[in-house]
Amino acid sequence: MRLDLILATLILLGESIGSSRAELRATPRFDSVESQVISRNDLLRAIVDVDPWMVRRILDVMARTEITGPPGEKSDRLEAVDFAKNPDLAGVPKNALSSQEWLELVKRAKVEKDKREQDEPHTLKRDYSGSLEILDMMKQAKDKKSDSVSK
Amino acid sequence: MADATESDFSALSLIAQAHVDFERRICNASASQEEWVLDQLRLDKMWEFAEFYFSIVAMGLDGPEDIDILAELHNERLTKLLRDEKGLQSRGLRKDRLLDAIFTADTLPRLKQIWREQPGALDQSNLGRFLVTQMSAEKARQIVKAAEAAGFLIVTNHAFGAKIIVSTNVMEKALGDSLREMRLAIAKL
Repeated sequence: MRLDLILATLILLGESIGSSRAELRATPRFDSVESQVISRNDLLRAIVDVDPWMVRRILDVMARTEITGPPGEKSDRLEAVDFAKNPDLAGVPKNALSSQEWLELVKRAKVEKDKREQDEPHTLKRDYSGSLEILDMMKQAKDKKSDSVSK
Repeated sequence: MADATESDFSALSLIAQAHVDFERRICNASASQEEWVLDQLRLDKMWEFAEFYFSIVAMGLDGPEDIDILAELHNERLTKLLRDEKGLQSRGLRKDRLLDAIFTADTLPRLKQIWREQPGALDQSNLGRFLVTQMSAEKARQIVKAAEAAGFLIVTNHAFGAKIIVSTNVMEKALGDSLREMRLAIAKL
């Protein structure tokens, strides 16, 4: 198996193991310089609230190796990223080992951003059935509560 | 018969008026008058969002133990919905989203702990789970952001690392007042 495939697999495997515990982990901290980086890069800004750990990992790669641009031979993997809106992501790490992780993370951040922004059919209309279900659920909860108090 | 139809028409008008009044009330009450905030508050989804919080208060479900009942009924509701292929399709709901929204052994402890520490408090992820049939997690996040800027929600960071959301009761009152006016006016028809 090629090295880049092994690395990509390890990254994805680590993420899937970590995701089930992600909700119990503390939110990563960003210092003022990192916060500035986040604020000037559209992609990081879009996902920092929903997946701060992905942003943390991207910033960690940036911290340990210089990102040189423009993107090199692997730029096709990042072609969907608008580098005008993501100036700090426009490039690849000098360090070859970090490069694979970088490409994988930025690509996944883009996928996550697109997924979040995509309008799902049910979000476009008023779901009265859903409203009725929730109101019914609340009424049932009230009745259950009353029952348990009276017992 | 004509009178009854006219009364039905008046009722329709009062229902629409209740929505208009709710929008006016929350926009006037908003601490921020920035356009991005008001844009979110004017959405129909805002009514649905307020409906959820209003229902908790209206049904007296703001006790520390009430989250147990709510979580159980929420899971029952989604489990039933997951079996209804036609319903899912007609409402544009995806199975994977509903499955993600079911409270599990991974998510229940945090849900309960946060609520028990402050009854009515939910973290962003779990609020999204309760609202899964009404809006995407992203839409819920956008509304939370606007409602926080408006002063309708207080958002803090919990030791778990989650964002904890607590209502200030402004949305609930705006919705309650609009519903009461509508109900009383319809009763007079």
